[in-house]
Amino acid sequence: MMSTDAVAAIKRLFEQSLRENCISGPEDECLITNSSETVLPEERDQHQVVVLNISSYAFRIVILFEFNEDAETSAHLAKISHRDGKSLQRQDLLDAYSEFVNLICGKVNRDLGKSIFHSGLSTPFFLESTCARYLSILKPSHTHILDAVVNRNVHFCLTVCICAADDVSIDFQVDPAMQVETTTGEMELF
Amino acid sequence: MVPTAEIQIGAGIVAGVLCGLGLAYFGYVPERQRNRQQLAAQQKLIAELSTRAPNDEVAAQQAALHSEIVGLQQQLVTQADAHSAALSLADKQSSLQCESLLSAAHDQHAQQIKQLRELLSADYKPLMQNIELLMGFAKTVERWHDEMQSILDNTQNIKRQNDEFSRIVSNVVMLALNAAIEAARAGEAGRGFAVVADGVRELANTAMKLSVDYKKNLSKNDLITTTTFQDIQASGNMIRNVLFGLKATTDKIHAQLDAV
Repeated sequence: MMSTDAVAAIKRLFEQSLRENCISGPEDECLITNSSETVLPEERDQHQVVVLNISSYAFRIVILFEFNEDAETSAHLAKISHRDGKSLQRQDLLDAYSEFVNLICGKVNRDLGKSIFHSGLSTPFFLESTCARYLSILKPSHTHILDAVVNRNVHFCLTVCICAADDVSIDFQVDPAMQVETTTGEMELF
Repeated sequence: MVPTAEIQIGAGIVAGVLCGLGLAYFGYVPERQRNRQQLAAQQKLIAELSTRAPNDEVAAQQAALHSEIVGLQQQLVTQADAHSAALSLADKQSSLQCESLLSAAHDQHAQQIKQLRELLSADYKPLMQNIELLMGFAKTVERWHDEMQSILDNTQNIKRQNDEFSRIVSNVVMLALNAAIEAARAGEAGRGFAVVADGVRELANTAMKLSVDYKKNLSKNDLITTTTFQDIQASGNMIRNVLFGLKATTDKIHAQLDAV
């Protein structure tokens, strides 16, 4: 069972990481909205979502990323992943998705490591968006949705599912000093 | 030779006695009583003075005492020298004993450290080998990663096949519908055919429903398989990070032991 403090800490870490890493510079404006609604947004055409896992001994966090497949989002990701000026082809776009997801979750994993000491990060995998409808089969104890809009036209959506063991008490807090850390995330090595 | 002071005292006494006798003789009683008291006092003084030792004797006693004191002083100096020498010897012996004890303790500790180092060095090698071997767990996870990708690719194939199956079933439904229409046009003659067409259409609809359910299950399977594999992979990375920390700590302890 995960404490309310620990759940709030995880939410804060994701929000902080998203805020730091979804902009390409100080000129970008980022708006993040939180929601605990587990109902997925209106169904779009079949598209790909990126799934990643952060695991520790008594819990895991499944993170599902959805990107708007439009020119603005593609251009923004190109900028973030230093592919500026290039038109992202399909494989480049998928690589940019993976890098972005790694950047966000890598930062969360490192920050979590400061509080709970041991945690690990998986590689990102692509799944069809229809898979997102069945997240409940993972029996998450908490589900949280973060919706980020950058410069009013670039859109990312994170669904954070916390799956904690019922028979283990998990409690930790995040050091407030950690919240103001401004270093950019590094790529996780696999 | 009698000293002048004593002669004078003696003469005074004699004069006093004579005066007293004279006054008593003339019946002067109070004066006689006073003289008697003076006489008693003078007699007491004479008795006291007669007990005093002569100067030579005092000087002799002083000399003897001085000599005794000098002798005692020399004895004390001799004893002090002897004690000092004894203390110095005891100090030296004590220092030697301390050095000897410290040296023995040092040797004992050095021996213990040597034994400990040998013991830990013997354990260090297999420990490091085990850590290195466990680090190879990353290779196992890599293998799983490839296998996982194969599973996902295979699921995609199944989904494509299911889509194809679904498309065929849709066509069968359409055909069955057309067959039912043609059977209706044929009237009485086509009644039997209409029953077959309805049967086929019903089967096709059931197959279509199964195909949709199958597709849903494949999606669920994708999610479960992927996230389960990712859990294993992330846990593997966590264990690998722990091993890195363990290796660093072991190396540090070993280095510190070598430095002792």
